[in-house]
Amino acid sequence: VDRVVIAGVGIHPFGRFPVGYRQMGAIAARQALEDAGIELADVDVTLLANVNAEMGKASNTVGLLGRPGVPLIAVENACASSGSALFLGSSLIQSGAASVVLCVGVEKQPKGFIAASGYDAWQLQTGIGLNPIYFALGAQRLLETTEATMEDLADVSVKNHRQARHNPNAMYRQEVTREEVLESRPVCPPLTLLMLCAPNEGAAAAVLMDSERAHRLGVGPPVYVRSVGLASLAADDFFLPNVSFRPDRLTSLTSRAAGLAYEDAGIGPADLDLVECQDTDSASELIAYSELGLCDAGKEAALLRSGDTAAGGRIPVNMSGGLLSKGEPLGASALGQVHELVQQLRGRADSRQVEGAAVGIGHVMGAGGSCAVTVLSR
Amino acid sequence: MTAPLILDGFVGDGLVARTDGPEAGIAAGVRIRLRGSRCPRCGRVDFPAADLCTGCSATASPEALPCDGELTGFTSINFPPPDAATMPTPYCVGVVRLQGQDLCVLGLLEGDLESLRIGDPVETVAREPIADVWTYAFRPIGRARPDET
Repeated sequence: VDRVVIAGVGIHPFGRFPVGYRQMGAIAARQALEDAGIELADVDVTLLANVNAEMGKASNTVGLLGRPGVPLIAVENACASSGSALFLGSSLIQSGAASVVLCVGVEKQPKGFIAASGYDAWQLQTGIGLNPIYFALGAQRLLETTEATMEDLADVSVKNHRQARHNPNAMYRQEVTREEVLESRPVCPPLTLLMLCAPNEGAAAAVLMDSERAHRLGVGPPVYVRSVGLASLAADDFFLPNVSFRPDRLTSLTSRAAGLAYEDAGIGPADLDLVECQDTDSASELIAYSELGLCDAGKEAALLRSGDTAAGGRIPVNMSGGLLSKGEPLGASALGQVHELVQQLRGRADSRQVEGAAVGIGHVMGAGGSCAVTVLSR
Repeated sequence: MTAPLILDGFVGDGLVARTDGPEAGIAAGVRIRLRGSRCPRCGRVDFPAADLCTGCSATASPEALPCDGELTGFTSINFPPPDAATMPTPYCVGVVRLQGQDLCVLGLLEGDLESLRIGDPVETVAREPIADVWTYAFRPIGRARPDET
């Protein structure tokens, strides 16, 4: 219990850059090592989360910082890649197999629809193997079955862009209005361009450390990994790349991962002070409200309208600006959330600070159907 | 209404069920039945057909699925997908609950966004090749309540 400490975090801003993924990853990793006050030689195992880069990516990235010869492993689980690296890194420390694990997430993802993300060839070739189809259908279902409206979908984007104003690592830091969101190009109705996140580039890193060692080193203020719940696609999840599901027995990938995370951490959603969730699109954030247990199913729009999930509210969601503002470098997204959560739990998030933040979660889900929920506390 | 053709393997991945009719070539627009599978152990129906049940991993048997169903959701894709660059856009995609089944299937959908409504009855038809791949599509067959808008 409370055995894993996040001793340091680092980030390379999210956006589009003329440098390669290796350099971005190395910059984030170096920052995390410096933040933890250690050197690469102190690391027992390095996990590199990435989707698109070449064979040997872990060595090619971390090798820029030195070659101490310790284990390097690449982890790929689509948009849940760095959540999966956190799962593995925490497990290595809890088991005693390692006392310091460096997790690095990095991506250079081209703009636009993501290609070939976990579908069979026939799905891709016939145009139904495309992630936004699932997001749009989820959004339509939310609009049809709950009181959520198009204005609510717009307001999620407005909220997250407003919160990103003060995040120097976000790609989009301009406020948008409800009208601008509603009138932006319809990409896959009901979702418009400004209701969808942009796949992009960036990196983030965290040093996980055995708590005894962290306390000995005087790492502080300590932030603990309380749990990482990792779930994969079930036959009746309506999530990519499933082509069919049983509507009377629909299940939720996010609910399963959150259930595992809460149980393992011994907490519930009522204990949370802030949330960073997978706002791939505006509706996904609203759906996550109920699936993460922040509200009852059907009450997502009411929770948004109450202001509880905005800055200054009871449980702010995506204070970093979320993926809608930061963009989504697939392999780095969960560690990007961890970077924000650690700043918040240390009380060092400046103008984004959630007062008294003590417990927070990060939530990512990716192609192929993997979902990771990470519970952090101070 | 003509009986649906049930052909085997005219789609690369065997999406369509085995023939019980004339072996004549398939044509775009004819009614077809998708080739699913049923698990003898838990009764689960999968589409596309699975060798092993996606629920309980028992060996499943192929089964032709109903041709008709009801539209439960839809969207349109307004920009070309990177892996199907020749798809004319916009095109519609829908989720259809097959008649008498606890099963929804995702597929291409004929019609345009303005005219489609949730609850529309649809039938499964053969879709002309996209990049040499035959597939299926759902085609609206008129409103259950045409006065409703």
